[in-house]
Amino acid sequence: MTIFQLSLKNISKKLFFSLFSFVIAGSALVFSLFYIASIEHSVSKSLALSKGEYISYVNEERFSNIPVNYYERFKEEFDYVIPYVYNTGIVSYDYDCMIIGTDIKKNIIYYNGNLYNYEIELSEVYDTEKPLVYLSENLKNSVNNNLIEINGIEYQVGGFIKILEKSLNENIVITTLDIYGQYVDMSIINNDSGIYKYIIDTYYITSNQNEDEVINTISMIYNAPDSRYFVDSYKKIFDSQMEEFMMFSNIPVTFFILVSVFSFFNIYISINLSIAERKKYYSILSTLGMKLKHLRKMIIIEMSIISVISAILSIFIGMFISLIAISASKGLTFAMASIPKFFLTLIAIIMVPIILTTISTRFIKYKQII
Amino acid sequence: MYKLNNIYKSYDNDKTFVLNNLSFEFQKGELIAIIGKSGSGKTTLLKILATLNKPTKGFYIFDEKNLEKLSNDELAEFRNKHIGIVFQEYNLIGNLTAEENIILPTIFNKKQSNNYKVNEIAEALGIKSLLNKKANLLSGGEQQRVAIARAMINDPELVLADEPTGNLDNDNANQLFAMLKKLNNLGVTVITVTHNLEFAKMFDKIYELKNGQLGLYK
Repeated sequence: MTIFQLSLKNISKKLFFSLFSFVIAGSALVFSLFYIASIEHSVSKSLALSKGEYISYVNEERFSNIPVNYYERFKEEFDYVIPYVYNTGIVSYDYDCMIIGTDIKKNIIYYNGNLYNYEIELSEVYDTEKPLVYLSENLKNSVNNNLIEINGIEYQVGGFIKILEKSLNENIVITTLDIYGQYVDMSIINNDSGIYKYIIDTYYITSNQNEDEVINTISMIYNAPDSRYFVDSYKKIFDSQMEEFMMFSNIPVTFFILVSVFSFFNIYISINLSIAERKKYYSILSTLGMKLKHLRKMIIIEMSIISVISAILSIFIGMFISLIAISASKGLTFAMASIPKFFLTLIAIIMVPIILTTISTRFIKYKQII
Repeated sequence: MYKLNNIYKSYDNDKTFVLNNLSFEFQKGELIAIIGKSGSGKTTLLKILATLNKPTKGFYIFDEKNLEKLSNDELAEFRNKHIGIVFQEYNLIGNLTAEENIILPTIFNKKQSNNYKVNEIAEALGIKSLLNKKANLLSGGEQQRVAIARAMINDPELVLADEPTGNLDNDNANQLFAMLKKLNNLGVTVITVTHNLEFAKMFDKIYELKNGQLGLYK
């Protein structure tokens, strides 16, 4: 027989007083884990950018005197780059619209903080001499003989934009950078530095590099100390969206810490009650040669078993409460927490009572058992 | 040689002394009974001999080792290695089997008990068939044998018995003496405290505890 086996056979019922507080604290932690995982899941689904996607928005007019074609540099450095320039316009002297100059073949619009995938339903082109534009479908009524007048200039309509997955109710006109530079806003074509280049508002980038590498590369392109402030990434917008939930996410963690602190007193009292209840038992063991370190070991083993039981109960209760709370919340879908976070939580639920018990047992005195 | 030197023991801040300047010397391998009236301090003396209590004043020399300066943990380790104790109430753990009770002292030291030794002791004490029985299901006599087996498991030099005949009839008391004598024949020093004079008379030496002091019984 070992001390472990002896402890297993003689778990004090008094120590189970601590189980209740462990389960409450543990359930709160598990609840917060799954609730936050579900919020993260829902937030990440609603974000404009996914992992590996970046938006760089530098005012390149500041660099017009530098003989670098930044659009070309972006294309050299990144797997996939789409440039955007924006201007407002008036259609047929009546409707406002947003004119976007971009690489039309890439079929992605970045507008108003969102990315839209689109297809183009091509129209028949009658007059190739007129500049070509593509329109959102809500401008269909303004088209006459496949021509449309924007800001007093007549354009040939190459087709209509069909937004996929999401809806976009704005009046959108897209065109190539060339046409945009020739007809919409000539200031985007610039040769102040002696080289011919576009002055781009915004780039959409995808890259396999990690975020820091992307930021460093953009900083290098612009020769700027830190481009972090004018580059949006998945992580950046995710973190900013999650900020409002952080207060909420801290409540269960704070609660766990508070309950753990109170558990210390609970454990301390439970241990003393258990020793008082089993004074004869410990006294017998003491006559047989049990040292205080053996007694501490036995109590820690007993409390460890109770911790494992409370961890199992906490997982089930915490998950159950999360399921109910998440089902009752609009816009949230239940999501599993990541495995490392789950194990970290499990370790916290098991280890905190064991650590508290270890501290509490330091206060046991010989006179309590003899 | 074992020696209690000028031992005082008080439970009321030195107002009265249960043991009063008691000195006592005995040799290895002796078979000793200590008698005394109820309240004379027999159990207190036994607890001091067992290192379960520390004297208020005086010191205890065990085989030339002064135990005065040892901490409680050191005394526990010392007790575990050198002293076996048999209590009047046997002090077995009820929900453990007889065998588990016997090997209990071995879990607090690095010596591992082996089945051979447990069987050997159980055989000698006639409790082999009881080894798998829960202690709380054993009779008084059986429990006492298990308690003796437990006291023997770590090969102690000194076995102390507190009122061992308290719950036994004459036959069982005789059997108990035979067991203690057998132990003594193996070289173990045996000291028992008892109020049973008939039982004490079977021992080689009888001391009487009177007025906090120990003297040879005449």
